[in-house]
Amino acid sequence: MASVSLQLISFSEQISQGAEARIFKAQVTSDSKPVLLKHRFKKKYRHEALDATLTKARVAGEARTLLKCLKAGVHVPQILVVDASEGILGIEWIEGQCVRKLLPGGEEPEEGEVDPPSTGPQQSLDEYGLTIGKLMELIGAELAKLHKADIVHGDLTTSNMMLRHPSAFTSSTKQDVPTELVLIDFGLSFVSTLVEDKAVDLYVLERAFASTHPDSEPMFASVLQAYERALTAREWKAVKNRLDDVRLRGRKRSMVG
Amino acid sequence: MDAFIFPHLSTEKSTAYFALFRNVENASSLRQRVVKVSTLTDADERVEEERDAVNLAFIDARLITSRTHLQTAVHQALLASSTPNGMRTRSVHSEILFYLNPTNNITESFKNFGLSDKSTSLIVVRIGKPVAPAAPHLRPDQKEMQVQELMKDAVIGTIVPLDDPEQGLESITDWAAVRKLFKLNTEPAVKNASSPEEERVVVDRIVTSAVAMKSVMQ
Repeated sequence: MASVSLQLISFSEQISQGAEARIFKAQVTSDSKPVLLKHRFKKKYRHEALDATLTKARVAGEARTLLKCLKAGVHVPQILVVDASEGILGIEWIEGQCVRKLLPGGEEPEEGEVDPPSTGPQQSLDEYGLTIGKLMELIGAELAKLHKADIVHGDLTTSNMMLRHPSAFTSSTKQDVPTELVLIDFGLSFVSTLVEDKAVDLYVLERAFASTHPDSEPMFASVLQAYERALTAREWKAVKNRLDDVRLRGRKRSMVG
Repeated sequence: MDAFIFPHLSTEKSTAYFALFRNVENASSLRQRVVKVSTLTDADERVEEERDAVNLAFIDARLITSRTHLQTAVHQALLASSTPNGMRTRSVHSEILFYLNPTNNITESFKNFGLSDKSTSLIVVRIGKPVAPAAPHLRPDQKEMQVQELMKDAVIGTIVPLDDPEQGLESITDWAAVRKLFKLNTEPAVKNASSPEEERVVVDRIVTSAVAMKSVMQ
């Protein structure tokens, strides 16, 4: 018999496909909220035993980071299903939009997106009650929380950040913004106390901004400002200096591999 | 009666009937009965009947934070039971208690989340089939009634809807006990919560996620 969680996938709608995994929108019970399933499918090009070990370790790693984030107060989706031996991670479905699509230049559908959903009228930042400046502040504050917990995302882009739609956002009591910035895709994340790793994390995001959104410099500068405000002067100085170094040499320090 | 229906699971496991009992009066004798049944051998008289009568999960409702929390534990236990050698305990019902507990110690799971002599609010869960295998002709609602009768025979108490705003889970969860058990009092997400309501949302999200990722916990 096919595994139960694969059966769950067969009842679900595929949303997107990448090199590493397929994304589905599923429902665990008929009356519960939707779940996003990330299925790290079998890679035929790897030896079976190696594939099983890698897949299991990656699902486990991603789940552990998400739990660490939740405890640190970083906004991430909650975990709902884990079947590591099948390579399946199920997380909360976030109603909203990824940040890339809400900023200028980010409209083109991304590689792997199945049937770019013609979301009707383009959702705009106004709908989320935000300006670009305010959004950049949210990003900087969230990254500061992440790095303070010694978690490095490893793949920061505007595609890996989402805004909860105000209609689907209820929890907070401090209502200066009607939305919440949520970090997603911790597939490349790891735990590190090194300033180098945090600086590279920021550098990767800076490059992602530059390649996706026109006139990104002032935007990224406000991200850093908000990031700075959430850190102590000492912590910030260390990261800032290292970020300047990384900008000069690129993200690979050792120049090998 | 309330149930989680998992369409992707095989028929005999696809339904988890459950009920929330308040004002439970017979926790102590019920616990003794469950212990006694577990020591019966196949040679004993009416052993099948007795086993079936308490073939249920008894969960201390004070430590359950939401419907999703309960559903996640039941679902992960069912996933484990559907995998060869996937279960860490001897039945799918005890597996639910195991998944709810933050550590991998089975005895501790029972002690923390199971039936104790002092329990007054219990969530009782029954996986799958109706009571008697002899009744395949029953309609789903009749099966439900049958399971409910079985639960009422075991537990002396009042059944209340889980989602009832006054009598339901919301009025039962002991948040301080949950925070202590999961060691959340020093976590930034909990310490920095701006209101008790937000703190509860945060704790529920952490606890539910901990249940879901239990199988890959360090």
